[in-house]
Amino acid sequence: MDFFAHLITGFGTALTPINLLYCFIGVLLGTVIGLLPGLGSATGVALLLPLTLNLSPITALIMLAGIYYGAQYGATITSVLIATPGDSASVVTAIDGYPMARQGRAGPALAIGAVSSFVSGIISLILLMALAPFFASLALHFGPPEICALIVLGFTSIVGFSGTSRTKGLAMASLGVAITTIGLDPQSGSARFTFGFINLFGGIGFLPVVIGLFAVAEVLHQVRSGKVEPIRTRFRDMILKREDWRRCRTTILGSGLLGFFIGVLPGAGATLASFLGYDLARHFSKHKDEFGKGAIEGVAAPEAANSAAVNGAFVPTLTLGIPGSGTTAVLLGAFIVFGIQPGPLLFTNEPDLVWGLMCSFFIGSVILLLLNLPLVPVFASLLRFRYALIYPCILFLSFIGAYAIENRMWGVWLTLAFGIIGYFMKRYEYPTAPLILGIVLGGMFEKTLIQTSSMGGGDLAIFLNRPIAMVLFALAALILYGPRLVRLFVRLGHKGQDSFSK
Amino acid sequence: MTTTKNRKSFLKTGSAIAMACALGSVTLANSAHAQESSWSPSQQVSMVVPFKPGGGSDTFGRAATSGMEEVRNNIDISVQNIVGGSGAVGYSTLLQRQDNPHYLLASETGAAIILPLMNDVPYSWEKLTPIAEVAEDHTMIIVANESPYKSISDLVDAAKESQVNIAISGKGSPASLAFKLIEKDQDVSFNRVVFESGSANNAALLGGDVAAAGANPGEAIELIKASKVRALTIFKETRFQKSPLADIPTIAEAGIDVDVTPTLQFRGIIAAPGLSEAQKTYWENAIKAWSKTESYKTYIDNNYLTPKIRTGDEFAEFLAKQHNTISPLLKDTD
Amino acid sequence: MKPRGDYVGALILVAIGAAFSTLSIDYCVLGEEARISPGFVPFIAGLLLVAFGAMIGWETWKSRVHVTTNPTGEDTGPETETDKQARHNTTKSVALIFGLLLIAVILSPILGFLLTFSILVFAILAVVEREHFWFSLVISLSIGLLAWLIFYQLMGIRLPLGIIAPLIGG
Repeated sequence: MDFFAHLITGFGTALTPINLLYCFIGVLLGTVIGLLPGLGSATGVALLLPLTLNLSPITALIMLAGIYYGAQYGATITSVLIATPGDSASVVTAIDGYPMARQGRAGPALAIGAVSSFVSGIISLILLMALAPFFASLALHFGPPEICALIVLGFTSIVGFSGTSRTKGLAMASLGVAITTIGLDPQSGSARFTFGFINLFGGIGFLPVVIGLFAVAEVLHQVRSGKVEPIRTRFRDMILKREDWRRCRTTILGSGLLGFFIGVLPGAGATLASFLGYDLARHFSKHKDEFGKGAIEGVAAPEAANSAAVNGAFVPTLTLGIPGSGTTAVLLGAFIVFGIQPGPLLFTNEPDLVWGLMCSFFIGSVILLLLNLPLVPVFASLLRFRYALIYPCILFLSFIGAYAIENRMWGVWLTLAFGIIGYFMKRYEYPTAPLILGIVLGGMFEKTLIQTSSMGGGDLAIFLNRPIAMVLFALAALILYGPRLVRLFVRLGHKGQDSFSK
Repeated sequence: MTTTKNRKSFLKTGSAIAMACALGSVTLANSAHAQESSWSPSQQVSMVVPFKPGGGSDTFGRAATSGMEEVRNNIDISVQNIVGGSGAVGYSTLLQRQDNPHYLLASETGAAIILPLMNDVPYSWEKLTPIAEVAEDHTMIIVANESPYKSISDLVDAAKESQVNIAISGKGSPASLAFKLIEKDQDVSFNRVVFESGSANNAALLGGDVAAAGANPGEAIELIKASKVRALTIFKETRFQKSPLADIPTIAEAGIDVDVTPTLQFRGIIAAPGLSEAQKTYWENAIKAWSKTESYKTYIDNNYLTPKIRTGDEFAEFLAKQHNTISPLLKDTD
Repeated sequence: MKPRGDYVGALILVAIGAAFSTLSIDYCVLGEEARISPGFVPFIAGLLLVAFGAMIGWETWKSRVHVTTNPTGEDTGPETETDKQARHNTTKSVALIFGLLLIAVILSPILGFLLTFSILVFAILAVVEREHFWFSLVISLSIGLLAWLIFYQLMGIRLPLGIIAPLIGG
């Protein structure tokens, strides 16, 4: 069969010693970069691109893909250990990963992160290899109205991230959306809420907000609470138990598939995937009340979703030359630097390269797992240090990261400001995740809404002619009002039979 | 010894010793002086790229950086992506480097000319020091392969009868201006749907959400080769030499007689304000020397650009011409 | 303490929301043919912010009876003198760290980024956490060196060097 012949040539390319070596170096460097706050995979790939220019194209691309993978996992490590997501896609991981770490369960949290990334990564790679053209044509049916509906669906997950007060969650999400409108609007080309300050033209970047709200605010909060003890755990508490795995199996599969599909859609990305993957897991979990307080599924779900989304993003990238995420956009740039034109003909013109690259994703995933599982106890042991020694270093790295995002002091100022805002938010129990969600979704929501409106010549009734969008809206309504309706029916049903029992 | 080389040796050996050596050689290199101009850089040079890594500006900035390092062996240029506000932040940073010859910027039409026309920003190209134009990119109008429109006049006729959706990236993008030229010449109007990038335009076109889109040759070439899209016209005075781009009629051939200057996207180098003649000459010569190398040709070919070297006043004249032709078009759009 | 904080929070949110909505009218909320325009999303987001902010205030007002009779959450039970003292001290530490951060951010373009933030680490360790002088120095120097290797050498990020620029030939 054609497919297997390609697979064999692919593995033949990926398994040469030199490519294996560079894949390994890439994964290692990527992990280091991912560990640093603010430096996600896109920045990592872009910054290390010049180092690969002397390599052959396939080796270089394999190394860059390794960086992509490594950075994803590196970001997970800091999310779990110190609530400092390295990039946007691992914000959700911190919601349950960090409480787990504070309960002395950093080991299982990191391990399930690695395992669920690996499992969903492999499943999604198989989908990518076998069915890429099919998914790509499916993705093209998602125009602006459909993506807009998907984002509305994404907004329904605010409720799940709101913690104690739903109103506060909704308020924070609205604030997030409002924040995204600051700056030069690339669509209309007009500057909004900039008041003549050139720094505001660039808007309020997502990453400085994340670093401020999570890393800096968490440090200040912990210093105030003043009772952070070093966490001493026995080795056997650091490894993943059979029970943990059983709880996460279906979650990984479900969130992984969802993540893959969201990744395939142009522009939706791994961050949205991780939020929706988490929410999906919460809806179907038997331990709903543990979410946000250290549920292991709460780590497995976003990790499975975001690594599947990373692979999903390669579908439009490799089949059409249309990047599915920020990082694949950078990788496409790298293709061109190496004289390879990404486009629909890539599979036919450069089969060795494409299949070699996809097979190296497999190998990269394996290397990542082999590299990181044994290191889990080592990373988890970092928490044994006194907090007084850790937090100055967290602050140091956070602020350098904030500078490195856009190479200017503005990011540093924003980080400081949001650190303070985040500190007071924590103190008065305003949830941070909805604010992040608002910022992630706000820009995309506005963009697709305006596009939909222009497509209809001002008439939003265009939504009615888009069946996929209508299904997504219906789903959103079901998520919001479904539980209430079910309860209503159950109550009505009970009323007739025995009104005493409850 | 350049930074890139430093970093490579760092990667290879990972040892502190190699780094110490590398640092030593940087200091040595600085004491040596350039041969042909009375001025040469005395410290590390920054190439400001006002857009994110991975895009066209970034590719250009990095190509020009390694190109100039190739032809001037004792300079050390580092690329800095200073991102934000569709380029406004990077240009404003350059503006603050008054008289500093160690700052260059990878420039293009959008942020250099169009953005200051549309918004109140502190910089304009006149306040900076134009060094050289390096290449030109052209705007094409593309439709999906199965589209009923076979020529620009088909598209124009359709727009006369009903709403025709077109995809552009940004209200002031070269593609938007290209459609504007057609609209003015033919007295029609297209319904603009704004997307964030060329590849998003392509996705919308392939998904059937819009009837036509603007694109650069580099953005559309692979889709054209794969028979997924067709180009109706290109805003260029003469046709491309090589197939399949050579098959695309120019806008004049399509029967629309307009000046294509506003739709061109130049790629060039701009420096901080207040450079001396000697400093300007140094950078102009470096670009000219790069343009004779194989790596320049590779950059042009890989990105389907048109080679175009204009330096100094000639470049400034071109900028002024583009400024003056774009300005009235933008006023019409509002 | 808590309810007052919530009133202030609600007020801030309402104010921010009102500002967004009012200002966005200038950017045009709905254009010709009722097209959604640049002002639309900030206008709606601002309105929602006002609404939810008001709701937070209202919910706090409604629950004030419960709070006074049955305190929940952080402020459970009467605080002892020592607890109060400890809380006071840690709050002071937070203020001190924030102050140091602010100074560091202001100074970093002048003194150079890595130098300033290494000093910051040293200051927090030695002053706020009262660690041993030499110990603090070693930690701050090693993190500075590590950051220089990773950020400056490996990734080629040009952090502001400030006055140390001539020393390392940059």
